[in-house]
Amino acid sequence: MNAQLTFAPAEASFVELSDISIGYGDKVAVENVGLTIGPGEFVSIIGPSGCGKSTLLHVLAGLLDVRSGSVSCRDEDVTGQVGRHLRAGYVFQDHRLLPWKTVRQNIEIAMRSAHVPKADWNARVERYLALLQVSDHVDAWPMNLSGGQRQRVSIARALAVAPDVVLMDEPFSGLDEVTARTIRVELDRLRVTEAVPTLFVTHSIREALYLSDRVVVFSRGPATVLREVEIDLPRPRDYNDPVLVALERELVDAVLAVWEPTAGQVTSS
Amino acid sequence: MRSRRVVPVALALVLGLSIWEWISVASSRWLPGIVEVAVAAVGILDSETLMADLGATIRRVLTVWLATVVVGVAIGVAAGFWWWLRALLRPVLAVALAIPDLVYIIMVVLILGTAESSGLISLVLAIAPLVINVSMNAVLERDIRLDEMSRTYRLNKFDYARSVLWWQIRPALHAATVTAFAFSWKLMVLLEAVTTSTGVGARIMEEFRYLRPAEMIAYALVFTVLMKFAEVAVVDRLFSDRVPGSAAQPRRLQDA
Amino acid sequence: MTVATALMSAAPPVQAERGRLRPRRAPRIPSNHSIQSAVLSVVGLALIVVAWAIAGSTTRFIAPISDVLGGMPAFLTSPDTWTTIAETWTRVLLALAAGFVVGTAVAVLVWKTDLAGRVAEIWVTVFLAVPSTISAMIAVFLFADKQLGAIVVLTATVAPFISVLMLNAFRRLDPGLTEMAVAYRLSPLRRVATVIGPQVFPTVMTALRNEHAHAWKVVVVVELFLVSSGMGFQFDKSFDRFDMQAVMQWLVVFAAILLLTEYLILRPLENKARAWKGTP
Repeated sequence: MNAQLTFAPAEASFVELSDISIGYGDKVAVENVGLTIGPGEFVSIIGPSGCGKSTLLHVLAGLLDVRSGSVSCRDEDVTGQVGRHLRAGYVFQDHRLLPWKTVRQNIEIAMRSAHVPKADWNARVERYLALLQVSDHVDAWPMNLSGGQRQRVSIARALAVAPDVVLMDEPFSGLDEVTARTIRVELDRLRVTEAVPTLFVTHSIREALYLSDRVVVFSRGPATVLREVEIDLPRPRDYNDPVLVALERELVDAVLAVWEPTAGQVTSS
Repeated sequence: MRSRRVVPVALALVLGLSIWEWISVASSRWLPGIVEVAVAAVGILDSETLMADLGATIRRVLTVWLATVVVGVAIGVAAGFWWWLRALLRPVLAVALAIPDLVYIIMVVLILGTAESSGLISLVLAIAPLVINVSMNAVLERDIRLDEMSRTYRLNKFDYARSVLWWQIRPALHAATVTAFAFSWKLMVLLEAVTTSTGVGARIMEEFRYLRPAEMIAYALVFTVLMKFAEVAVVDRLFSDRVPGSAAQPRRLQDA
Repeated sequence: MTVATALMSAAPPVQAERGRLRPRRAPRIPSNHSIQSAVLSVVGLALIVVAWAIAGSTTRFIAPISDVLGGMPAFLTSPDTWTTIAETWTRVLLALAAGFVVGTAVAVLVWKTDLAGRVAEIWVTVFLAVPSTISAMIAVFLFADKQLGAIVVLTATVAPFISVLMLNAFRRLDPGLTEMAVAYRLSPLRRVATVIGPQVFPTVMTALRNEHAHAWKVVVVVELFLVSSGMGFQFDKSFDRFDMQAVMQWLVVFAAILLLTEYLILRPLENKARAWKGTP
């Protein structure tokens, strides 16, 4: 029996990035890009390494300001103040859990800073660790956990703060394929009950297709949007669904020429 | 387990004392023998002035130590975060570390006069640059990816300092605190020898001047043992050994 | 000195991480601030000069900067100045060399042997605990040859610190490389030259830098009590005669030698020694 959550999850938000350019120093990372994330939508960004896709996450996390263009949330313009208006749950590629705090404490620190009422903490910790299949490790030290377990805790932390949007930066690229596959499946199942708007950056096309409602394909840096693909498959999905496989092949063929112009004839895996 | 510790200590003691005695004989007793030093030590421990002297010295050592740690850590951590302070302090620290401690003592006494406080200030000036350096480097060595994580999760400054920064700089601050204490009492001997008439250092200087090496060594022995004990059993223990969640522990010279 | 010991013996917990990704460090000078940084450093230096100027004009006891700098040419061209500097410098260098020999030998002993090593470790702790002031005073009674005594005291002061640093380095040798050396049947000499030496060399440079500065500071005290020559002695003599200008001049020369040696010789050498480790 799950405890009543007294703190209602954030209203599904609708985020729009309009004609934005992002850069730092002399470098332009992203140029004239538009992107929307609908309520409860899982959007992936795929692109070659170093194309600047992570900078979009940084903007939404409030770590970076756009050079031009506008960011709005729930139809309200928040450009330049994204940090104050948008609460993000960030899952980094390298878990970034505090090694000197237990799993529970790590989540509590994030919840406190997100002003989640203390009365809800226990219930939330239990709930999200259970959803990510790491309930047993609630009082463990991060360094005693495996890489996969740490990343699950990191995801649980992102969800526990009741974010407006979940930001994931290649969260599985540091894990072995079996672990990654398992967590992907769990994430997919999670979408049935917890459809928080999510922006997911990855370089794996299949992963993006499997997890997302919509995939945005970026070009090489300075990045622009090459195309967008809607995936209309019901959840829960099968990683080896022939529709996904076909989509992947089509996408690889289409973008390979743009991402790697020197590559010869390629058959997708 | 205990016996493993006792044997080397006993052996070190016996060998050390034998070598001392041998040197004493070889120098025609210019270096007093063990018995002479022991007798002198008993005499000192019996004397009425010992408590007063020890009290004065320990009071000064504690003052210098606390001031050094507070000032050093504050400036060092600030410099770790503010690049402009770092840039400003770079030449100042370099010069400060290049000035011999004796010169600090002389100069500060010249400028501020011969009150006790000027001597203490000179020692703080001599030791603080070290603490500043260590604290500053500790802050610079932190993992800035955790800073980024703290920013995305909107940790306020207090939580950041307490949960993220403190645990990363703690080992270095631990070492700096112990080191500052060690320098405080060691330099205090010099300060008192050269400037004051009370305190253990002054007594040592007195025995030195009156050519009473046995008494001089006895005073030094009593004081050093006491301070080293305080350093190891008290100051070092101020920071508990275990950092939560970590496997490796800092290795100490004495660990067998 | 103990700064290096502090930094080396206390590893922050993040470094225990087994994962592939290493912690990222903050840049010392943020790249977009390098010019302002340099300017501020000059300002810092200027502050020292200003403080000196103020002290010089307001107190009787600090010689004004103009006098000190004005008298420098005469000071530096006098042969006595250079013989004094040479004496002190020689003592420092000899003590450093001896300190390295003794310190490394002790470190090897502690690293390689059991009982003897533990006894040696205890003695190192004892020598670390003795204030150099006390050693200098004891040396006055012990050594008829004061010159020898000065060098012995200096050596006894730096050797324990070097020993601690070297021991740390030995304990952090990569066991994988040692295994490789055994598997490929490297002779002991070759092992030291090609496997152990290069790994330990950066620590040697750090120890050299730290203990060089340490020795210079202690030599002042040693010369004060023990010998009647050298820069420390001159400090004291000038102070006794109330020749404040001479005191400041000796101080300027002292600091200049230390800083020039540190920044023009030792740090570049140390950076080159660490270069193969790659950027952190």
